[in-house]
Amino acid sequence: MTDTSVRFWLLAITCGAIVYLFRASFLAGSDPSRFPNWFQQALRYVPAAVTAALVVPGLVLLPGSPSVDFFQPRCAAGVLAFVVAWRTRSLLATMLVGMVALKLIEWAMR
Amino acid sequence: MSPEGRAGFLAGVKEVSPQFVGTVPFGLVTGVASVASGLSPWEAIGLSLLVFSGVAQLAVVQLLAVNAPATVILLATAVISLRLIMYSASIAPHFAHLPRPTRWLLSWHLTDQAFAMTSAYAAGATASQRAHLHYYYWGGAIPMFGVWHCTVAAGALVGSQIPASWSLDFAITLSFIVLIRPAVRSRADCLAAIVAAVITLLAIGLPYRLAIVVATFAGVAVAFYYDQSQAEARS
Repeated sequence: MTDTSVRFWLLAITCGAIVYLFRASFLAGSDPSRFPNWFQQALRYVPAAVTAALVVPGLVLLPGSPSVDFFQPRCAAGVLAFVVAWRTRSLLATMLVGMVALKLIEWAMR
Repeated sequence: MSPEGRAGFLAGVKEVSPQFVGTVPFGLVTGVASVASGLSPWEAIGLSLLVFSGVAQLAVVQLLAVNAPATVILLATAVISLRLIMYSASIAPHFAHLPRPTRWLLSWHLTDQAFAMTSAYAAGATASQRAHLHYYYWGGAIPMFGVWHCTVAAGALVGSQIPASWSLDFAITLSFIVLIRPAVRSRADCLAAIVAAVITLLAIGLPYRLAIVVATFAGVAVAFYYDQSQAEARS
């Protein structure tokens, strides 16, 4: 195995361990009532915050570069896909609209 | 298996099936996106078996593609997976009577779907159904496990044949976009999402997408204080 391959598998195993420990935290571990209330309350907002944060770089960063550009095909295609996702909640419809829109806008801007 | 256990298991199988309308394309996208970001199909399948969480897998491959250091990838995985602690805490009382090794095994299968299905089923269950709740859980979890890893594998094998000019990495962003709506269930959630998006934009200059981590904490903190002030205003 090459060095990068060893590095990848070590990383994958550690990520797996973190995710598993979180899953088992209360289910196989400690009693939830022993944890402070505010902690569990704050955890409720994580899904909304983290998904929004994950989306943004994919829309505004130019592919393969650290520079921000709002007027690039991915941003417009992403906004359109967001409208579709919000109304239909369908992954399939969002994928289709998003990918086709990206291709069309890229083609139109050429 | 007792008749009640059997009935619970079959109810789980029956209720997990419609979930696959979402799981199958998400698994395919995860597989395709993994190889599009530079993993071999075997690495993509291995990552799936080790992590078994679509959002975490997508974040890992996305960060690997921008050469993020291992510590950043682990930090991002932890932040993204925080919701699993919430699921674990919420579902634990239903299974507290089971032996600990069984609960270790149940933990491995605690997905978004397993959590949502089991919570809903337990809320409307009879005493006997509640006593056999883990059969219901397995009825949903076993098919989910098979379908998820098979679709990731299929996506990875097909994806490695697709040329880079198709910009399939954009599928990762699209799959995150779909997850926003179900995550926003209240005004505080909406605030958390907006704050997190704005902070990500402001902090985007931070190396290795650390903006995502910073923005998540900021969004959660603002939503938390908003909720506290609302509760005080009511009391």
